[in-house]
Amino acid sequence: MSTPQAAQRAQSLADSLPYVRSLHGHTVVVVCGGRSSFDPSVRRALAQDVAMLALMGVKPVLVHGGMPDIKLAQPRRPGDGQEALRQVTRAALAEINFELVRLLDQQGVKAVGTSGRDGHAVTAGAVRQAGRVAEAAALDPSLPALLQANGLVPVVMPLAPDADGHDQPLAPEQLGSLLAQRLSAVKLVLIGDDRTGLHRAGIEAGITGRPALEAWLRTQAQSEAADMVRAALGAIDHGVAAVHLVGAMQPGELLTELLTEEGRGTVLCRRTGSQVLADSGRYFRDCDSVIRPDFSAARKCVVRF
Amino acid sequence: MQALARMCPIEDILLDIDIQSRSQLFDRTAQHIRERHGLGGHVPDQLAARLAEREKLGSTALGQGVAIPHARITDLQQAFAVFVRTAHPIPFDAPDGKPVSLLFILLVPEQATQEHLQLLADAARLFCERSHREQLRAAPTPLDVRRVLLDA
Repeated sequence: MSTPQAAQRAQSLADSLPYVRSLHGHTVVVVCGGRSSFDPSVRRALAQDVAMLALMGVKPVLVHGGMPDIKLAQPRRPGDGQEALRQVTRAALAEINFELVRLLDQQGVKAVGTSGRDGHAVTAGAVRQAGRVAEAAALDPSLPALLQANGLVPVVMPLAPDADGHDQPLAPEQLGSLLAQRLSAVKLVLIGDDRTGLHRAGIEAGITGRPALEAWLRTQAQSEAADMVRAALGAIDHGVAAVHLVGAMQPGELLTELLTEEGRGTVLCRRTGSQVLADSGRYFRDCDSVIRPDFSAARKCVVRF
Repeated sequence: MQALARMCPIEDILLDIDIQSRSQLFDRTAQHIRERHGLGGHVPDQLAARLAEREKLGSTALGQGVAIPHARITDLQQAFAVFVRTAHPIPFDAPDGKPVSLLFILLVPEQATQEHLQLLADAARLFCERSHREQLRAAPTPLDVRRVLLDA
């Protein structure tokens, strides 16, 4: 006879079955950007959750961040120090990528680390603003798709050659969003860090729609969370059904977000409660009343001429 | 929410119902309404089909495991509400892709009035609050569910 604790653990697994079923065989892109990737405990927690998803038959793709926070001394000539900066960046990102593959391997999952250079998968665009990283300008999903088809979890570092062949670090959120679109992912999960402060920045937990996040972005364009929000909106606009915005990675955070009724994150959906009410409005269109967006029902106003 | 609570006495609060799909849910609801209210004739025969028809316009799931299926029923003289909590979450084409386990099912006359639409709006508003959802999931008995409706 099992102990109560063991029985409880078994029941939790059984309770997650409908959620596992809904994701089984589908691609979920997980982006752990920001400074989270530097934290070994975050990497361990992330690898554990991603491994669990993979072993349950979900097809995760992991994109990490980890751009080193390096400021160059004032160059004597334009372009001085750029190559050194590239080498340091490449080394830092490669170290995190290797570590994540190793951690996934320890959990019994076969993973492969890739960069944008592998298979000409990604081309970096120009840096649009000083102090910002480049965004992916072109993406060929063949390599991650091939890896997935062979039961491997792609672990993608945000680094790709630009038009001149120089390796450029990329915004991991935008890269993950593009991957989710091209791989027809059912979900994109964007994990920030304590600095991102989603809820502090005014993004409430729970289901939200495009209008609310667009309104937020108009006043918070410089916020740490703004890149996550733009990436989320881009994903929704191009076919991803739901994007989860998670404040910070803790053990079990990803599994709670995806395999229970609701996690602590914000979920941007292509279809919202307002649209359900709008559908109901059409359904009741020949009745004498309407449902307003503020959840009140009112008699229709009849104007007689 | 008082109107919603009035429409939903404990006899119309079904907890931990063992069903696997939307169509089973609608059939079960039709059976409950037929037995509970002694409906005969063609009215109960339409219930499941009309609920399924409404879903074709767009899923009535709101995400986070809740849904508000509803339908207009020909020759129905009054509205009926049934609260259902399933034993296991069921697929419902929800916006967040997650299965659903908490449902308010509303059946209204063909010519629905403001009062009927307000019931639907109240159900949606109830389900929007995380605290309500958590209380409804944890409620051990129909009486506890009814208390949540009355206190909301």
